[in-house]
Amino acid sequence: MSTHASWKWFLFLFAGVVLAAALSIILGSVHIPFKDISSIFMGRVESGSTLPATSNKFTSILLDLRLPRTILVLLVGAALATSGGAYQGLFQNPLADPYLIGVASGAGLGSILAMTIQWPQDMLGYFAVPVSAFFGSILAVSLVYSLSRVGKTIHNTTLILAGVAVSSLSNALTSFLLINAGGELRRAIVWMMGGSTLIGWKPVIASTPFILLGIGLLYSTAYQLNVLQFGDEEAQQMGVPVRKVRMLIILAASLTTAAAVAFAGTIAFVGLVVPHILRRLVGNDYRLLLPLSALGGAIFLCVSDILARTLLSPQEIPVGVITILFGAPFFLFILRNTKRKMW
Amino acid sequence: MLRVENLSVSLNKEPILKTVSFELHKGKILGLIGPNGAGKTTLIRVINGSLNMDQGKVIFRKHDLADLSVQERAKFIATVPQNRTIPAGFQVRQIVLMGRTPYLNWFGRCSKEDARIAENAMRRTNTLHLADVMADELSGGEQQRVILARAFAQNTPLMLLDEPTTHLDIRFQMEFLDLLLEHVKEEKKSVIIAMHDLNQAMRFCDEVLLLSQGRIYADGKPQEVLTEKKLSSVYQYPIKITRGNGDTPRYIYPKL
Repeated sequence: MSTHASWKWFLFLFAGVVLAAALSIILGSVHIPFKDISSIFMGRVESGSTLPATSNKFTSILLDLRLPRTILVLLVGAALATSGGAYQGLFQNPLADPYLIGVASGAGLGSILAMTIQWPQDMLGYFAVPVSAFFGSILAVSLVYSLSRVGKTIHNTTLILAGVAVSSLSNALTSFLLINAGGELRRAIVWMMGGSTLIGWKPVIASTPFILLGIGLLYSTAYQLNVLQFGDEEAQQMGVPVRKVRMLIILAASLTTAAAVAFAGTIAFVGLVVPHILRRLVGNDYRLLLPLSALGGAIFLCVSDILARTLLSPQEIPVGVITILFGAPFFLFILRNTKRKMW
Repeated sequence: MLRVENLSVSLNKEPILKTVSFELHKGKILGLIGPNGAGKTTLIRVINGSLNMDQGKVIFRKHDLADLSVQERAKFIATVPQNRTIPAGFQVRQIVLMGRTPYLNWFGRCSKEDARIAENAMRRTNTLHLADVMADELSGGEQQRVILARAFAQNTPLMLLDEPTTHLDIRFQMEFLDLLLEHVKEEKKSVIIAMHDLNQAMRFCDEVLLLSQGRIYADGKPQEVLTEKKLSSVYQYPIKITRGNGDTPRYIYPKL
């Protein structure tokens, strides 16, 4: 892929992100006229909080609900797609998705555990959730890794089977915790389906640094991931410190997933669908694939979230349901086509 | 230049190599021959650090290879492995550039010099016209030349090749070995090449090491090692050699 062509992809997907974000802010169960939206944003920029009293309700919907939600959804989509792409490269398995290999459910267990011990109230409480999710995801990925490893190789199907087993276990433990969760039960259940019911700016602030750190670390390993596609032994002969690189990618991908899951719930298939489509379009160079996946994932999840909010408005569908409706048929399609594979 | 001392290796507690010792000098091509399971691949994988040894030493230019980091070792030794695995979705140029990995930083940033070296490696291996093609879509012979180009780009004084011409047709086999020979003679590299074709070993190698059940059965000049008696004994099948001009053996074949 020439530099010229790759810039085109960046611009194209970036425009898509901007468009999806704009739609996500404009559309919702409460209709806000476009001129109010622009005046609210312009007013903020130009003259601080000197807004007419009538638009106070709109202002709060836009700035305290839709804007933070849009940002969270964009970041979570980017995080899931990037970590999905990295897991696929790490395991050399086109089906590796943070959800399918059990990492997301492990992270979910971690965050519910944190929320059960203390429902987040202050900023510190919010930060505890992604941290706890990170430990859950590391536990899950270590378990899946050791279960699916036969000698030095990890078989494609075994990895997914181990992922499903670990997922079921984590989900069962999560359900157990939820039964004892009392008043917050309903919110947490919607969270589990990928509903991002935790609203406002605090979840955004609490997860953004972890997501950015995780994605940044994953980008930094992109070249090593390229060489790793030759298999561990050959990569080592080309000078890649394989064990170190693998460990770093697992930590970074798990951190990214955990930070995404912490406040958005376990959203499946973003990490599968987005990198898969992009592989077909731009090839397997992870230096290109990972950043493009981040943009693509942001678009995919943002559009799914818009659908989730508007299809049955004012009733809201958990966004995880929408991504599964897209992703599950896609998964079956990949499964069928693994013979003529893009690997 | 390369000295292997008293090397013993086992896999799953099964001894594979037993007290193997030999030396390889600069600019020489050493052929590893022997029946299946004699330990050729194992020997290559121990020298390049993929396998651990039970005892013994591999010394290269006064460095004990066990003491070198993965990156330092990759500046000394390049390997063309037996199982050709070309990952999908990479262009030939990208793959050849990966040979530069030991010289690059963590992010794999290539300089103009790296690009020039990779281009040169592609020219030598007759793959430059394929530079922008997806490597996994090439034929077996072309893919093997791409991997050779990658090894050339790694620019190491020692190259290990594990049956590089298996699965290639005669023309590609000869082209491959000619390219290799030309390159290593020009650059004064040392090469260890495991091969099954005894005639190719005779034709392309300066020295031959005949392995049998994990031990060195014979080593030396091809005409000393490749004799009817030794080969028949190691391969446990009657082997004949026709003599060409003078006293040099010309063609080795199983007795019909």
